[in-house]
Amino acid sequence: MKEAGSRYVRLYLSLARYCFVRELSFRGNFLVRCAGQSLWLVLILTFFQLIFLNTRRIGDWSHNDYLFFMGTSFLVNGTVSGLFLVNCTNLSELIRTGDLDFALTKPIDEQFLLSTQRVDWSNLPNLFVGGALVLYAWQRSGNWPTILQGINYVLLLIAGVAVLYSLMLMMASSSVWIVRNRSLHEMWFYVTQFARYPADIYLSHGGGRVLYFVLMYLLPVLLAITTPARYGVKMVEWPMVLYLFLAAGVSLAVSRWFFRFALSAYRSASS
Amino acid sequence: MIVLRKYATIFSISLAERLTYRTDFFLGTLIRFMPIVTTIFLWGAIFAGSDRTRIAGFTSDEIIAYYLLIMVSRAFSSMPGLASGIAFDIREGNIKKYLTQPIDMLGFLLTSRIAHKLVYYSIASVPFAIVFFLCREFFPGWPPPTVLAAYVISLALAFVIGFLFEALLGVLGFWMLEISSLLWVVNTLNYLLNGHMFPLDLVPGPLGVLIRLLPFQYMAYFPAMLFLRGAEMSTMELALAVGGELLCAVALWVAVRYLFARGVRHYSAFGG
Repeated sequence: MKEAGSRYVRLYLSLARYCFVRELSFRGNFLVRCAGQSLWLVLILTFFQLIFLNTRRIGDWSHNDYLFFMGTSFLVNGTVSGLFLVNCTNLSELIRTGDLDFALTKPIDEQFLLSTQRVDWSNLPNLFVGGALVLYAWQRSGNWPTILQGINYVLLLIAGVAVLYSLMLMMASSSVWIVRNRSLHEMWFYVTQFARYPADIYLSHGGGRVLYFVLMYLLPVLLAITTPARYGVKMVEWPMVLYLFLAAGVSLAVSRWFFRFALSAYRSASS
Repeated sequence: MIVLRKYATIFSISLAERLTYRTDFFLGTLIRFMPIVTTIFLWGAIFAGSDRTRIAGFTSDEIIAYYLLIMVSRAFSSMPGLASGIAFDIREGNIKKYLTQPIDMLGFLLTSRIAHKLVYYSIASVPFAIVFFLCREFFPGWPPPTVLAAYVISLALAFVIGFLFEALLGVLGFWMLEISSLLWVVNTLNYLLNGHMFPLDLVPGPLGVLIRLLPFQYMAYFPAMLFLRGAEMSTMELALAVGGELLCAVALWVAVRYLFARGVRHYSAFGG
């Protein structure tokens, strides 16, 4: 068991290194993609800087809190996009073309292989900018976390990534039944756009409260970013913290089950 | 007459091809309105946290109306896949078929796009009508007929400018092997500069004035503002504003034609 675990770690590191070397083979293209990512982050930051010239708060988030929220959002989304988006998009394509057969014949766990075979390193700016924003917001507030709180924050980020990854894996697996003309990339953008802003902005309105309930408890995308960010700035909110850990565990288990169920319904299209 | 018949055939073929995707158009349009839901809640929270009733000259209702009108503008000016398609044809040598046959590549692409957009509008008008009906309270009412006429012209010109802008990027493929990363950067910048991300009035000072002078605004901001603020303008001001948009379209057309002609001279094709 321990040996199998270390084999998977070694394999993952080899895949990540291979992707990095491949990116550096087309250095110019890689740098332009990183620049494009950075530009997008700058635009989002610019937008909210302009907004805070006109308002004091968004929900109960002050300017400094909101910088922390954006930093958390960049960290979670950057990790999900860098590690899983390209793989899940590819999974839909493999199912559509029938090339999934080649992955299923490999002597390795299918979910591991299909979820991790590529790493999109051009998402690194998300992590750098996100990390810098989080540190800057902590420094500005003068409210540095203890080591334990810092560890908790990182664990919450991982739990947030797990929730989003599970959702993405289920969407990609559904390609076994639904042949899409629209790419997973595009669908993912529309599903996660609700998580891009603090969850409490939906509580101001009756219809918003229904949306909040659905996206918090049934399809918990709102949890993934708001909960780590709230913990980071308030250092309390224990019920939500525990709920995020629980949701991450349940999401991973359900997505694993759904993935295997989808594979059992898969009929090769190529051979 | 023969030329007209040729383009009419291209148009009818493209029309039939696009009608295959009618369900996808319908669902796709509905899905594209989802961000409006978050926009309504976000701006509601922004106004609730501010002591102002207007931000950058917009009331909370006007800002939602603005974003809805931006969706209409972009339905006209966005040309997904056009630039990358042109660059692909140049890179793969597919452009040879346009150079050796009596058909103009840009004319062919424009005719196909018109067919594509007509199918799109005929299908997407239903979800658009539903969403606009549900959001009717955000609008101050219908503008006067002259403004409405100017608005329709500005949308038609937004289509032309959107097409020419993408074609301009696409013909860069004559000189650059791979333009996908460049397209990503330009489209990201365009998202800000055309007013899709937020109303350009939000940018203060000389930078805001400069951004509002750039031609990007004609692809989203300008038609939306014409609808919202056109009633405050005289007929002459309206005509001048739309004239500016027309001038931009003509300048882009000249630039695309010039670059395409230069590109064809630069282009080499080998093999069958």
